[in-house]
Amino acid sequence: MGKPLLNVSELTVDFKTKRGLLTAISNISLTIKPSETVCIVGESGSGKSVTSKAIMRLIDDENGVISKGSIQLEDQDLNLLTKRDLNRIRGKKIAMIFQEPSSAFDPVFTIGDQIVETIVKHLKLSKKEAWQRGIELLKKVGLSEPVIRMKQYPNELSGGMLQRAMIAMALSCNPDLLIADEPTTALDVTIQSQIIELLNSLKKEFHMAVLLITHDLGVAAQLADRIVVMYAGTIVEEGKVEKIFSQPHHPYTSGLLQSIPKLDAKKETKLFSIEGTIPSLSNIPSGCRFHPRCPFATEKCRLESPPLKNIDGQQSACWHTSELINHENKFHDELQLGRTQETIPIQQEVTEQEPLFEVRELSKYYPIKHSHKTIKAVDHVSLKIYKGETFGLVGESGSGKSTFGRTLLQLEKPTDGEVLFDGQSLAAFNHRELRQKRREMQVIFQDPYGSLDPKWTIGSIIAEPLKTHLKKQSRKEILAAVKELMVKVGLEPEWIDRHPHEFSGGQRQRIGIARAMAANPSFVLADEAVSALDVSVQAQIINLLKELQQSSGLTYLFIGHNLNVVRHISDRIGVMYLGKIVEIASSEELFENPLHPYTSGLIKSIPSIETIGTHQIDTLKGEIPSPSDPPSGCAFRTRCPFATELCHKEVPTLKEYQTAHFAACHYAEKRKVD
Amino acid sequence: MRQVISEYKNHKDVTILKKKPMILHSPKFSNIFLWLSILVIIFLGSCSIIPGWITPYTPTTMQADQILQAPSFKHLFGTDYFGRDVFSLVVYGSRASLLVGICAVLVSSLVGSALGMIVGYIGGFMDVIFMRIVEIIQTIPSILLALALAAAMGPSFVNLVIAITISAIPGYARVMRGQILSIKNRPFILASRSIGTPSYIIFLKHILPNSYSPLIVMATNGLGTAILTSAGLSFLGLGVIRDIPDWGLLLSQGRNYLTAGWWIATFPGLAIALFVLAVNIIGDSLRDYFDPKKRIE
Repeated sequence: MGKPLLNVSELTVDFKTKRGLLTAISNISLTIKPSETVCIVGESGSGKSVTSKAIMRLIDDENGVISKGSIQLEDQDLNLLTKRDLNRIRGKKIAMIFQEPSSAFDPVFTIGDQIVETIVKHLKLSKKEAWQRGIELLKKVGLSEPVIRMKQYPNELSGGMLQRAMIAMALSCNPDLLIADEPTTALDVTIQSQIIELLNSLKKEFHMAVLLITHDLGVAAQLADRIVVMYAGTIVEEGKVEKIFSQPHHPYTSGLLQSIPKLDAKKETKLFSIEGTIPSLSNIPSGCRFHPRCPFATEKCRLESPPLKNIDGQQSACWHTSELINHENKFHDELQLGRTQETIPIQQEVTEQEPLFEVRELSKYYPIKHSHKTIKAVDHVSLKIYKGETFGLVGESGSGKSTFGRTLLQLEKPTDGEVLFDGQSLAAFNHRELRQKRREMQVIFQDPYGSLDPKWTIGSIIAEPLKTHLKKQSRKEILAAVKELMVKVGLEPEWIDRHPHEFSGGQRQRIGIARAMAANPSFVLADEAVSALDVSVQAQIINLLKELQQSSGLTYLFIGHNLNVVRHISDRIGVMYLGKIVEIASSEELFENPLHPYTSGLIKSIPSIETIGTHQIDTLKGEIPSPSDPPSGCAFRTRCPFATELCHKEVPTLKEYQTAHFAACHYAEKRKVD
Repeated sequence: MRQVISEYKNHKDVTILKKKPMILHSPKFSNIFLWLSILVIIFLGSCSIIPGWITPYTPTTMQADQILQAPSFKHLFGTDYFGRDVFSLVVYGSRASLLVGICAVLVSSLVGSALGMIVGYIGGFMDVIFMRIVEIIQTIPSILLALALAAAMGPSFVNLVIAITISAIPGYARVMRGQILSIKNRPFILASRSIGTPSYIIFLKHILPNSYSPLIVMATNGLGTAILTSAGLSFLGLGVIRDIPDWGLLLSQGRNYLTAGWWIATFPGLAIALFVLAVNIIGDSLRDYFDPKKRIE
């Protein structure tokens, strides 16, 4: 292909902070050829976003300084340009898509105004022509009724639609390079897969190069030609997508790949996880930055930092790459045998199947202000959660799964229906009895940052349930219990007097888990408990949750949107759509033989690392409708490829089609036969 | 990037890199400010307790031959139109000003924030009623309200404090109510509820410690306002009648002589400014001290 479009060489970026300069990325070199897609992957704190912002010179506005290296776009060195020249390039030659589409648009201007502004500025078209072009672009990115969309304000569009509009805006001036910084992270799987499909078709049509930043290896596999793996501000591996995924040359890449729960993995096997967490920038280890977490580290790794070496067109910064390739099989065996084979003994099949929770027609409606309508967040849900099992609950955002969890535990008062806990109706308890009952049902929250009181020490956070429920314990006993819990969840007991902000996301989630386990509950609700964590840490937390379940015979309700993760941890899974359960089955059965078209759509939407570049086209179309105005009949019919007149008229009920496999679809019987 | 910085902040054992940090942010420099502020407060405090030990003259002595003298070594802050020594006046005036300011701020911040927090936490009907009352009080200009109260109840120290307090309460109530409303919905409150912690413990141990920091800032600012309001009332003849004027009265009287003797109004004004500044700096450090994220030791 000849000359590269973008050539970044030995780029080092420092940030000015109150306590001096901090090097965020060091010696980054990468090239992008015309119409090539390069993907930077890495965990949070690896410096991938900083790299992309440095290319746009956006870090100037965030106290960042490019202290070394150059960024060549064709023949121009972006680092030497003045602000004014830069503005001529931004938006025209390089365009950017951001992670959070809802905050990337200015809320006081219409979508049209904002697209037209860019076009008029760079292409010198008249306002009218620009408007026309805007409409065409919106049509191109698959937005329905583009003429109306142009006149709408950002808050009138959903997240998926906004991301499409954002892409249209980025494409408006035919950029040579599109930088997409986590473009699908804030979106649901179904919408994510639609956006991936869109980007794939657009990059062919517009012949542009794409620099994709993501933490999700699945997304990278679907879109990238080449992959750059970053760790703690440096590039550790770089190469063609097929090669990286089939034979990683760096232990970090290899670890990341193995941390992802596979669809065919046995459930009782422990998930592979990289120990520890990514170091903070102020405390970067000597030598190879990965060595404290690397199972292959030697003395040399501790002392000397490895350079990027090219082996078979694949670059990797590891002292042991050549050994790894030579002993490739051994390496793999070691990983497989030594690490992943560790299993968590599967619990005895629950023979008597005694329900811990029995939910009967549970509903939670929220009134809409100044209207007679209500939002049916949870609508007549009935299910049972058996003792000792993990019940997974999946669905897109807006399906009501979190509300269901909170209503189940009476953290929100149900509008209707009944919840039996161990045979007793929770609604029959008075305020105080219910509070006492909470000892037995605890919650692990999604947000490890928000769910811990920033003013409390770790010790008092973990002790809170003990102090609330076991009043007779002495101070000493509580302290001992807290320390024991900390050890159990993998925290150092001497951290007891520290505050939450001193910990990383994964450690905070461990604190949250310790708090939930403190009062010896019989039931734990894990509400998106691993969604905010990085892949390698996520695997650690899942393993911890499984171990704790084994040792204390816990029952979990695991709410999540990552189907692979939910499948890995759950015995049975319920699928929710617009406040209703549409399918319940054991997790293997659900994935092998989904009866509801929504379930199969969700499963197809998962970006897989096993099928590189072959993206599923027949994923779910459209978006989840507003729960304030659900479609008549079957709520899913608006997105269902099989919908008929019957679905329009009649609400399907949840029926058992196979043993312990329930579905709410008029045509489930037929699909079963197919 | 925010992540990077916050991660950086989060880390305790940071080593200082290459460049020297900005001087204003360096802990040493802000420490000097803090100590200066504490000295100022100690000095002003002793002024109000033992003014006689500090001043060379009694404030009420009028020296007819020394009218409107510019500042000199004999009269540090000059003399006023009666020939009184301005330095002595400022030192003696501190007692009345500080007392009114501190009392008014203490009472109004305690009452106001308590009311705001309680209605914010309980919410519902009580909240609606209370906030409407607060809004009604706020529509009346505070000086007018204080004036009306002082006029109705007659000029006395207690009435002065009550008048200033009532006009300041709505501000505190509103801010604290807002704080409570935002903290009430933070995930860790839900987490605590899910554990089964009783409401009053959640209020006392989670919500309160997380909500008072704006109160410290507001109260330190309120000190200045309270002193000035009392000055305004004294100026209108509704303050406490004493033979020694307070800072506010000095300021407003001196205003008329601004062209003849700038020092008469300037020094009491500076005293107010210095006091408020010192209290502010101490307030800020206090707030930081109670915030575990900012505590660096």
